[in-house]
Amino acid sequence: MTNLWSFLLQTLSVTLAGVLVLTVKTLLKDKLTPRWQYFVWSVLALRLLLPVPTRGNYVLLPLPVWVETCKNWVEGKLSSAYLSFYQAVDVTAPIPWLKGLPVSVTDWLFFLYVLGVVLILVRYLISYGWLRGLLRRGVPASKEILARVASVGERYGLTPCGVVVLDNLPSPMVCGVFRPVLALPRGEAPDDHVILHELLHVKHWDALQNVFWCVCRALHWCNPAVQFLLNRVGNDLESLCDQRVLERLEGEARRSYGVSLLAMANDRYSRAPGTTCVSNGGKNIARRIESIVRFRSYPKGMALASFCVTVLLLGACLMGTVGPELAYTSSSLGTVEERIATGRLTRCTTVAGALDTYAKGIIKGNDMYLMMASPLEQRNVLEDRIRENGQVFYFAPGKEEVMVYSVLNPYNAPAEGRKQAVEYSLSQEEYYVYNLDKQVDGSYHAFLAFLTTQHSESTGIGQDVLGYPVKVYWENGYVVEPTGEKRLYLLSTEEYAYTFYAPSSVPFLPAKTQYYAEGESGTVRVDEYSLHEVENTMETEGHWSFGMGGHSFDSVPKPGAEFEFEQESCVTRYRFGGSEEARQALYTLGIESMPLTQDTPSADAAAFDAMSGNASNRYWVGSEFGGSSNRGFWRYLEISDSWDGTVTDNGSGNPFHPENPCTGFAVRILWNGEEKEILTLKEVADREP
Amino acid sequence: MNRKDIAWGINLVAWGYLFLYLNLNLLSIDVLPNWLAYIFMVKAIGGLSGELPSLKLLRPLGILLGLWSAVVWGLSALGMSMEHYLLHVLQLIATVLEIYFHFQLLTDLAELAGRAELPHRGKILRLRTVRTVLATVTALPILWTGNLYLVMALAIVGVVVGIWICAVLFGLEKALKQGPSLVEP
Repeated sequence: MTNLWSFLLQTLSVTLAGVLVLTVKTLLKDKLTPRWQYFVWSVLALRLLLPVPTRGNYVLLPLPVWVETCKNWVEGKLSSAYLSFYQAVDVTAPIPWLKGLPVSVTDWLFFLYVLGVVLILVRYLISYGWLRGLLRRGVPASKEILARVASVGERYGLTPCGVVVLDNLPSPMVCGVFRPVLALPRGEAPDDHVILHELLHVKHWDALQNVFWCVCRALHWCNPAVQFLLNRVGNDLESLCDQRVLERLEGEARRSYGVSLLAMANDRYSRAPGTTCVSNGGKNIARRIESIVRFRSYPKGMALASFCVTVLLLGACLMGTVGPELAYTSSSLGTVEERIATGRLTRCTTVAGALDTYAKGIIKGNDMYLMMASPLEQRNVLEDRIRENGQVFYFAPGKEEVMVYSVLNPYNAPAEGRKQAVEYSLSQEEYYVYNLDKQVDGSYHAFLAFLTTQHSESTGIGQDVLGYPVKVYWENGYVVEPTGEKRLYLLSTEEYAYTFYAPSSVPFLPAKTQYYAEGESGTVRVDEYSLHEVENTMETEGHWSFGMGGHSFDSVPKPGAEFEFEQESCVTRYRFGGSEEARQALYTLGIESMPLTQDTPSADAAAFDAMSGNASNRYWVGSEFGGSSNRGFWRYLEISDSWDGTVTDNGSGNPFHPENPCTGFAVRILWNGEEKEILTLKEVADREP
Repeated sequence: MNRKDIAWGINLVAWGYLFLYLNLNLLSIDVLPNWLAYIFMVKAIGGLSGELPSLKLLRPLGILLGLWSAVVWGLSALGMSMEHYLLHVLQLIATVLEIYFHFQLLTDLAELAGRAELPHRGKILRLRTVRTVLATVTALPILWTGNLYLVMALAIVGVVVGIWICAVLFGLEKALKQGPSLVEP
């Protein structure tokens, strides 16, 4: 914890976990034994030891959002030395750490808190040292007392410890973790049950547990709720020890144990670290007597239930119960500052999640979504825009300069683009991730495409595509950054309305990878594409109506999404390079393409012959195309007089094979059904547009 | 208590489990509501606690769970969303109490079967254990809950276990009506 807000977050989360545990304990107090009543505090212990998560699920309540919101309100006017305004609150460790001298008011408050922790720990050390000194000066116990302690130890199988007698000691206690000493009040004959109680504390290292709880007290000294919870922990530790005593006693001895406790019902007792005391105050003694009376009444055989209840509480308090999407869906409207806090805190944990969140931010015009998937520099700009607009939604500023491409034939690359001012809206709630490509540095490049029907260049028919290249990389979560200018592909013309359906319609987009070769028969280029999609189809109300389901786009971001659909496709383009005589003699031309991998770095005629479906078709006079199971595809074209010398084959989409990626292509050229040549295509570094 | 009274109590519990595990929705209203199941169970607890005093401890929990079920049922009937942080916390507490409640209830019913020297004791204990572990695992906020097939499989197993519990309890009821008196503990 390096600033006031991280401390607040940690201590409030601990309080919440403690209140939950206490609530469940209260509801089950007469059903589960003191053993479980103390054991379940391990949930609180773990919450104290572990930094509260600020990403992923929230622990019970959206405390990170609320603390971040408060931080925004307060720190906006201050300049803290311990935190950066735009950086979301984060807890890296459960202990405080000063990063320098305090500057702002909140810095000073944190500084005072840390000072308090140090002073309390020092006080604990001093009081423990003073107690040890007192014990060293104490009178060694008489032989009778020593024999009694030894006899109790022997009777119940416990190891006795050193014993001293002290003046003015209110009740027996044990001091010391590794060299425990039993201190008895002078003048009183020690009760065997009390000795048993203290020896059981020694056996179960209760003094060491006490040290842990005392350190937790110091770390949360200014939180009265945590102090109250830790008092209850101490009391439950004593009740557990009582249960251990009762399990070793029988009949009348149990009743007389309760009487012994009553005799020690006073309010003076020690909570010093490294000590245990049989008396823990009058009120607490009364509660312990109640537990003693209930000793035999607890239902038997509840071990599994106790364990499952504890596991559930652990899961809830450590892993969280509520996904962060509650904080940013429209059903939980919050203030602008809360939305900003949510945008800062929610990070995308997957590449798909980052692209999904970013794309939905673009589609819905939601700056909060964009914040969640943007690098820090851009987040600050978006934050300021949200504050300026007073809301998370932004409106596109009229016309925007984009590169416009007219796609005369969707199976070919478009004509040269022109820069133009276009006004558009992404009315079709759909997006596609094309050509996702992992780079050497661990980042990803992709092309993000959106469908649009509303823009100033629209013919009003069909759909067009607006997209731009992006980079996805890790910056405390995956973030998306545009890396190129926006492009508008006009697919619809007055002649036909083209329906965009991925992935085979992508040839007009820039390829992910290009492969090229030149041969006797001509040149061949293969453009490789990939399409990744996150499942965003949602059933709408009334979907039960005779199976005619309504579906809609799920516009809620999924920062942890995975791609549900991954497909690759290739487009092979062949340009005839033979002589005019050869051209005249041609009546069919076939191109068969096969990807090469590290396992299959080349292909021969036999490999092509084995491609399913092509053997009978290669001589067939007619246009035919298809794909085979080994990711290859083929096309045979009937040559007409008006043939322009090119053949394009859109390879059908095949499932993604990231474990066996393409290293090249082999393409067989067939003239009139006969193999002309097999070309091995290599990746092109400088691509054609 | 005589055998018929005990059998009647077990019958109520069995019907309670049937209501818990079966849901029949008419539009947004569940006509086999869970709160009715808890009414049956609390009534049964009242009747059976003469034979098993520890059952009395479950009465307050049963009432609380019945009230919570009624709240959830009401919200669902009104088409209101449960998506609120406080409701999630209350649901968590309800889940914890449910796990304990049903564990002890089935343990105590197994105890009754044991006293009647009926073979149902072992079956009830095993079903109780499976039910408890399943309920705990499905309630944990683990990432695998995104795996649809696993979730469906767990749901099917849960329903099968629930129906099996009903069948065993109805069988126990029938056997109690016909069998000898219960052995004193």
